[in-house]
Amino acid sequence: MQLFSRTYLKIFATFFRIGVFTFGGGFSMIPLIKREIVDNHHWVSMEEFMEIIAVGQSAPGAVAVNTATFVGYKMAKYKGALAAILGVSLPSFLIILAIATFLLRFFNTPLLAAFFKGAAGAIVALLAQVSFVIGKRTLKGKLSFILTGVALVGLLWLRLHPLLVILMCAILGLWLGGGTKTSSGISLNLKDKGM
Amino acid sequence: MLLNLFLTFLKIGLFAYGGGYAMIPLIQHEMVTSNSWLAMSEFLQIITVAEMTPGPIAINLATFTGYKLAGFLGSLVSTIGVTLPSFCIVLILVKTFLWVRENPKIKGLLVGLRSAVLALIISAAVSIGKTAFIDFKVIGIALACFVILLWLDLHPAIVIVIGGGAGILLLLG
Repeated sequence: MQLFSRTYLKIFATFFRIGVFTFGGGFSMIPLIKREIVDNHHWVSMEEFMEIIAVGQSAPGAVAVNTATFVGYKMAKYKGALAAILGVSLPSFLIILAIATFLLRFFNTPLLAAFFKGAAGAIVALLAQVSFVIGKRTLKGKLSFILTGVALVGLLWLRLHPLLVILMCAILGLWLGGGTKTSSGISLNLKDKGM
Repeated sequence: MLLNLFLTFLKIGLFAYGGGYAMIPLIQHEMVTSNSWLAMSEFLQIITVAEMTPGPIAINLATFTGYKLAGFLGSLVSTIGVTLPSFCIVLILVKTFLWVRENPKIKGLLVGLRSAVLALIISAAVSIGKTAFIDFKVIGIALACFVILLWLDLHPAIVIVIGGGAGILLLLG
């Protein structure tokens, strides 16, 4: 029992460290996660790590949280997954709470207001660059171009609800990209669970 | 309000394929466009802080938005809401992953999801740009940051600080 609780603590501490030292989220967290769990702890092999990242991107939600869940589960089943999620989320949670509690009232001072206005420009640039990077990876083949185009028209001109656009693209992708496989019963079953 | 926040972030966590950036347009729609819980300027402040602080952007966004709307408990339920779908779905995928990856139907589904997310992020850039570009100085800052990102591949948090610093220099007073 002692040994088990030490495992949970170790998983928690490792992901806590990852949560504290990675800025920018998502893909910028991957190198540090690799260093901790592949190089330092040898919890998973490099091949397994690539698989984990692939799952992290196939599931919705934060890539870091998904990776933490997967690694934690591999190490120590459900409780391991829980320890990893708590570890990776807690630093964010505490730091944001501190900022919101102590600094929120200064946000509208002229200095910070000017900072936020400039930063907003940087955010637009960041989103444009992320679109660029994701676009390069996503836009492969006719289907992805058509679906992205349809989604853009739906979002920008028709002002459809984002969730409606996501569902629409998912269904179109499932329908048009599914090839000729007819055993759709299993796929649908999985879709229910996976969505 | 707490239940509302929890359900909203559960929904956001469930549909945000591609992590934090995919979450920005969804949060924008739920909080700014359809519910008017946040002003666009407040939303931009939240993104700025989420980018500059460590940890997953999704968690930062959920915690901050939750706190602004309903204090400590708000931040707690939002964070749990946004992580719960990840937790459940990854645990399902752990067991079915190889089969899932090889299934052509699922491949089509993932192409659909990724295309939608790409379009969502582009539309977020457009709609945030409409609010953020209050004058030519901000447009200049955005262009400069874009060039820096493409050529130097600097870290997002640093680019935000550069943008904010330029804002102080150019827009103050």
